[in-house]
Amino acid sequence: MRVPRPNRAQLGAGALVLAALSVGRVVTEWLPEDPSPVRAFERTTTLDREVHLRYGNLRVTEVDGGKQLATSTSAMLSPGLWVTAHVDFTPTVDKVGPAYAELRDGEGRVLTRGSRNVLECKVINPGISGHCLVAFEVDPTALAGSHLALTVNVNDQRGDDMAVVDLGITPAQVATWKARTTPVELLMPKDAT
Amino acid sequence: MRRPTRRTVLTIAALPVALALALGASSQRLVDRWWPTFPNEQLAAAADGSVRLSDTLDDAKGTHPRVVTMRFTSLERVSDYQEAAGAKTLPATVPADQTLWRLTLHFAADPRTVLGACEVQVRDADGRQYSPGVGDAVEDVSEFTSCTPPGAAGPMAALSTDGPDQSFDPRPAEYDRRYHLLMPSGVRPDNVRVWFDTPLYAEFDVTEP
Repeated sequence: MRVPRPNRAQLGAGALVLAALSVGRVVTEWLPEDPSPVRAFERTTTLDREVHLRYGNLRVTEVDGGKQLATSTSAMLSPGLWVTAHVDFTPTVDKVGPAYAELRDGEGRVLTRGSRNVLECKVINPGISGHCLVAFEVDPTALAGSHLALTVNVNDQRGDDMAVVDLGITPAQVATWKARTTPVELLMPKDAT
Repeated sequence: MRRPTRRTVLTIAALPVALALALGASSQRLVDRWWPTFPNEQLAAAADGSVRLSDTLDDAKGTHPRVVTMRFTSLERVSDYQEAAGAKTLPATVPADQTLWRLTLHFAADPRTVLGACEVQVRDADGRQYSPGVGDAVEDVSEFTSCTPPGAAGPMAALSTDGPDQSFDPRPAEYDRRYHLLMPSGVRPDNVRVWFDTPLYAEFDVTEP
């Protein structure tokens, strides 16, 4: 059977269909994926490298760990480890501060706030440099390779920027923290806003 | 090259219309849920600069009319904290790169009206939004944004259908309300926004102090 040769209009229509499918594919790739179709827009960075978010600039400046945690109000001992982080945050649009934190450990498990984990930030006006304290109680075997995720909406993280920070924790660091006998002090710097 | 047919032209011309219709048809969440949560409907100002809000407030006992007139009084840099004219002046320790501002707004409303919660923002020309608060600059002070005089908020919204009407201390018919804000030094305030329930809001231009 002889296959009819397509004319220019048919070729053009075919090209348009292919172009539309390609655009659809690009849009699908760009949109957030499962489990929620409107998950957060993750902005990745590493320790001591500032990340620019829709609502402000964030930098994790220091990570520490140990079995004992000392804050301004409590002292807590963990059967695992405490990992702590100091975070600088400057809002750029309105008066906000990080209000949601999760730790994604090296095995992909996600730890959120509980009664013991710490996220303490002051909510400040745009242009003022603020500071946050973060502490998570973790399983030491999965701590290496952990990432800290932070955003400003405690109730709904979808559809907005979220900082995802590689804390740069190595197995050697975890071993040092496990052997540590002094508490990890997690206190606001004296000049912090 | 062959000229496009009339049908081709019409089809291409209809594409933007179809796209607009598709976007419109899928915008229910945006239009009905997200957009009304923002102050996006500016109230008109009278010749004297005051703005009159006339809407309703819903509480457990029903819907109540709310009429309140607002006026911008002043926004000035200050070095101390004073909750209201005649109140005790408290020292402020303002960080080197920040400035403490005092905003004064004037409100007038029937003392029997339940005003409810409100928001107050100072904005700069780029749209950055600054909210009241003094951080650690003033000891033992935590600013709570309301549009009623401190300690004299008047009647409050009912939380249950069968309880008695609750009220704070009586609210005067007219009063000045002060707010203190810490902003980075160098910020040039452009306007002040006040709203009770979105989307209605009052906006006042700020003259350079």
